[in-house]
Amino acid sequence: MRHPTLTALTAALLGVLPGTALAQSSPAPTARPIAPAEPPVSATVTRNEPTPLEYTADKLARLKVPAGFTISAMATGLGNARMLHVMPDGGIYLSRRAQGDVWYMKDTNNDGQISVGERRQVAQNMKAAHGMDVRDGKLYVVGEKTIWVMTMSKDGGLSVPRVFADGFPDAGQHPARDLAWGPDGYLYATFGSTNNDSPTQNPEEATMLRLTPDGKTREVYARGLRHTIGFGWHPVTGVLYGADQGSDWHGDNIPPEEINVIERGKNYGWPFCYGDKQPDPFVNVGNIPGKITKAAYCAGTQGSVLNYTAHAAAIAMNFYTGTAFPAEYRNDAFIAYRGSWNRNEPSGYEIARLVFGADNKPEKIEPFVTGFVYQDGGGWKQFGRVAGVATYTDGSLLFTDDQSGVLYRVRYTGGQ
Amino acid sequence: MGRLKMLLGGALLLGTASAGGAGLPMTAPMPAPTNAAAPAGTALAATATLRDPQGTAQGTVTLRQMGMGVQVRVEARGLKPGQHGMHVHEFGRCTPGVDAATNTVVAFGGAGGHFDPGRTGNHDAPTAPNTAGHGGDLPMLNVGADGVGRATFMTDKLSLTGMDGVLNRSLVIHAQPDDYKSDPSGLTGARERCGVLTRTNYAARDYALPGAQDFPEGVAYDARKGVIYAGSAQSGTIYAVNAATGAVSKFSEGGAVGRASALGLKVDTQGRLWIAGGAQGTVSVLSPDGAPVAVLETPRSPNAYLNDLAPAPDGSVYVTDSTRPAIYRVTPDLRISEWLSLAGTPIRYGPGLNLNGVVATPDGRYLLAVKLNTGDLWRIDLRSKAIRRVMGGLNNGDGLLLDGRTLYVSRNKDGIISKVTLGADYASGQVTAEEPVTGLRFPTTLAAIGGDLIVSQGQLDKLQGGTPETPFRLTRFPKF
Repeated sequence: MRHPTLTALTAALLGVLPGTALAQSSPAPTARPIAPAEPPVSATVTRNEPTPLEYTADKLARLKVPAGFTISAMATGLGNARMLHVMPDGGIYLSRRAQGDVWYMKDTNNDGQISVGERRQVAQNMKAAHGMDVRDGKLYVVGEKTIWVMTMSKDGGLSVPRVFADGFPDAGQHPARDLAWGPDGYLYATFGSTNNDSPTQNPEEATMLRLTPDGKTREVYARGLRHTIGFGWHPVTGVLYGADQGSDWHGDNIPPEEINVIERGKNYGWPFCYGDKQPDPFVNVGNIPGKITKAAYCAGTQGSVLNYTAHAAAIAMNFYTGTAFPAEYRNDAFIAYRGSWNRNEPSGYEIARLVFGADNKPEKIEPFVTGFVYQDGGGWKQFGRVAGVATYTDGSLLFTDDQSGVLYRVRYTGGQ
Repeated sequence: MGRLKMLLGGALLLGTASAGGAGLPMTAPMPAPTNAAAPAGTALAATATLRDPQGTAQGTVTLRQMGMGVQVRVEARGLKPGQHGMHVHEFGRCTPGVDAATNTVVAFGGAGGHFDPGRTGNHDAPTAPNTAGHGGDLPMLNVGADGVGRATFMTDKLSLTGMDGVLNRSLVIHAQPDDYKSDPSGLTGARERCGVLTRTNYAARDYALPGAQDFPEGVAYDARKGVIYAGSAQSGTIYAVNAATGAVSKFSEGGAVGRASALGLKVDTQGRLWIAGGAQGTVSVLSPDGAPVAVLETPRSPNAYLNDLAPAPDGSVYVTDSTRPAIYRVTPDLRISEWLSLAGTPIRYGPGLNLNGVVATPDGRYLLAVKLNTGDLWRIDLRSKAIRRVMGGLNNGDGLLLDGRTLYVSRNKDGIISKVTLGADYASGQVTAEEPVTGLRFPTTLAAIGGDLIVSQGQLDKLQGGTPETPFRLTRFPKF
């Protein structure tokens, strides 16, 4: 509750006091003797988990793709199919978080299907195995508190996993980790918060970490990221984008899901701020660091560049560099929004397209594959929780459903 | 209050206009001298322009150091006739700030509570010693029918240097009389006049840091880049400050394993930044662009406190541990090990923080290290590991800076920088000057920028409770 006149006085006094010449453009927020006060606030919140349905082939017809595109199921029965990594020879690594393993799949007979004989488990006993990336013939996998590395053989097989880096934060509420080698030769990995919406004790939680190439040393690259799983560098600009999941239980539309430009050393606001540095009224301010006001805290954070429907829950993000899709898709990103459980009208349950403009700046997020969730008999039903996204060697788009264990493939056939 | 020690005489003079407390005389509770030598330069003095909440100048304050006491002259205008509570407040900010009782912003709230060097938490009479009540509790100001109050008095509750130092604190005149007993401020009501007590005839430059929780312990300077590094004891974040413009950027976010706290900082010949990791027991190395190079671990222990480090001419870096009796060494291949166990040596570890600031002599022969809890300076031979006590009297000695035969010692709780002149072979030393600069808040470590020194005002005492004064700052001042 600052009075405008007092604010003006602050500036006036700073101008005349000797020895207080602040070379800063924005002065430091003032530490307070006691936590700031905020008015009480109420929310209406809804738990709405659409009735889950097992995938069956007849449901394919419910899925909608833009004109000219065709969708098919390439494999089923894959279990908790999460993240994908496609090799140049068409081999596909699949992580299964619930099973804690990695599978190798290859459509050796080129029939567009990955039959039971074309898939095999190549690593196991890796708790919460999730994000994957490849560098110099080695597959890196991140799980709950560990990054493993395995040497790949030509047939897709993997050596016994070696611990590459360890001692990461507990998983808690957000156990889906991701990693990728950056253009600077460092390994980037994201670790979500153990909780929903309060500060955490472990300073490596809710962060993106950057690791040295030997895995032995790391830094907090960015913080205030509640659960950023999908991230990647724009193929033209090299800018690092990430999709963050906002807090639960704050209402149908607060906070929105974020697309952030992730820069080194920046704080992206969670748990106190969302979107364009907006203070979240539903977060307790009593334990804010330094007992500053939420507004002052948020002013020192970094806002999102785009927002999306609350609770849609982004998982993977994949920049499309193939040539099979129409030219306007090139260098856009596809994001798997796994779907809400905390919104009256469900959000997500779709593959969305992050559209970049001619200037290679993000413009909007629009649906790409929809139809997994629908109203039926007065209630909501869904038959797919989408997770991993990757570009296949032929330029088609692959994505997974971790509920029924389906690998989907979207091809562009409009030109034919 | 019943334990008041009433000392009268020349040490105390109340001006006729200060009729506070029915003519209560001020006591002269003489604390043990903390300063062996007089401050460098001319006599210490400070002034403040008193302003009303609208920012209009309405009086002046002048302070002059006179021996162990301070002469205070106050003139304030435009006040209601009668008696007004008058106090030195902790912070040098006459800005709006939070009144904790109501959690609302009030005029001059930024000045904080009464200056309380004895941490008594007790509002008391101006006759109470600082061990019993606020050091900042002054006699009331008696304002005449013309709205003007004048007072001239001596007090040794205050000083312009040392633990009772009031440089860069503020003098506040309140609306109501002071009952000299009610906490926290004697029922003196609103803050009507405020002025920051600023040292006269002294030039220094502050570099402000951007965070409310920065607690900068370490400071280092890279002359090739013109960049000052400052590290947060609280978060491990390292800032890079442009020494010319003062612009601050984040050099490395803290919080990763082994990087959640930063104490001593040093720049090596390759432009890499070395960080003592305190209670984490780690030493970190950052590349000149801030990327992580290595985090080196000492044996895991609940009692680690790697506090400061010293690059030696041979390329090794020596590291003090303030709670484990050992000196560690990092060799140029970035391996850390215990170089010298201090068990059984004359450097006896006791409660509190032991060895702290450390420097290597340019000839590569010795380390000099200060032991904070006893105030001893030690010389350790890098070849024979022989240990020699150089001198004592440097209590609360934190960071060291060696400049030829001159050693500057940051004395954190005392709020001063001591200048030590070292004898031949660094075997002896003598304090030759003590400098309060502009009023330092728990100065921790030092670095040299050409002919200047820069000190981090760590305020680490506020990690144990209380509110730090923000912005946190580094202060650059001439060598003395």
